[in-house]
Amino acid sequence: MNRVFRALADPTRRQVLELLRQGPMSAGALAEYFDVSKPTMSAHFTALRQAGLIVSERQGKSIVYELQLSVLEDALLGFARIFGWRLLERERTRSRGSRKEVKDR
Amino acid sequence: MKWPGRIMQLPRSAVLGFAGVALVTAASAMASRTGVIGADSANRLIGLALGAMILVIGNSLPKLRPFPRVQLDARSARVERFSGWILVLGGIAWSALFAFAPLEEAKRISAWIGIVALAVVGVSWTWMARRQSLSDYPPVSGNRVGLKWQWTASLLFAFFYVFVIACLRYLFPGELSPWVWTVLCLPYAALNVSRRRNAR
Repeated sequence: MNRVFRALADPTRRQVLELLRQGPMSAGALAEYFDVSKPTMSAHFTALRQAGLIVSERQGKSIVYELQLSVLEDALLGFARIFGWRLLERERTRSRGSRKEVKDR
Repeated sequence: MKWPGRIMQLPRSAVLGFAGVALVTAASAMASRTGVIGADSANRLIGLALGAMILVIGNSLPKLRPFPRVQLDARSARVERFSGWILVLGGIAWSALFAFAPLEEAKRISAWIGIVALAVVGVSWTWMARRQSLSDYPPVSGNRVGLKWQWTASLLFAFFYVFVIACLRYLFPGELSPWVWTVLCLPYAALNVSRRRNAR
């Protein structure tokens, strides 16, 4: 379960899971959505695969990933998404506030 | 034909959960017969164990992958997740009823919850099975994928068998007629015969 929590703690990995909700995708297609290097992306895929949240299948030259969430993991992802989004919003509001303060000075 | 690796995985939690629940049920029945606990307590424990079983199997259902798909398919994965959610919510409601409601009410309402959950899962699985052909199922003979699929199918068959019998017993407390067993075993036998024929 620790591996699941660790995998869900990262926003990039959560985003990968959200993308895979639409259907299986190749590693290359998934990597296009993120501005990170290939080794970093590969590490994210490994973390997700080790947590048992995704499964991979080799199709010719590419590796296709597919979502494999239990109901509990699905619920955890939902919670993480809601709270992650709230944290992001709070962060944005805070940075907007600090920018305004700088302008006012 | 190369079978996708994802069929190979059979969550241990589902098997252990099912076995654990079967043990709790047997122990409660035995404790009631020997007078260690009262009949009402035993009935509640069995109800709670059944609720836990529905919850555990429902939780693992999207990972069990009962429908082999040669081509990767998002829609069928969504249906499996949906069925899992239905069973988990049904299991929570079932357990809560046996924990807090009067016993007779708990039996009646939980049986109806179970029947509704089974109907929803049945409809969604029928829709999914319509999109599969028998050649999509792994062959029975010796290979690991076929064996693991056989385990998944047997586990789910045992689960649905216990689930249906529990609902019927709670709704109709008298003896169940033999046709119920025949009706429940028939689809499983038919699937196995077709797979064997397909393997030749």
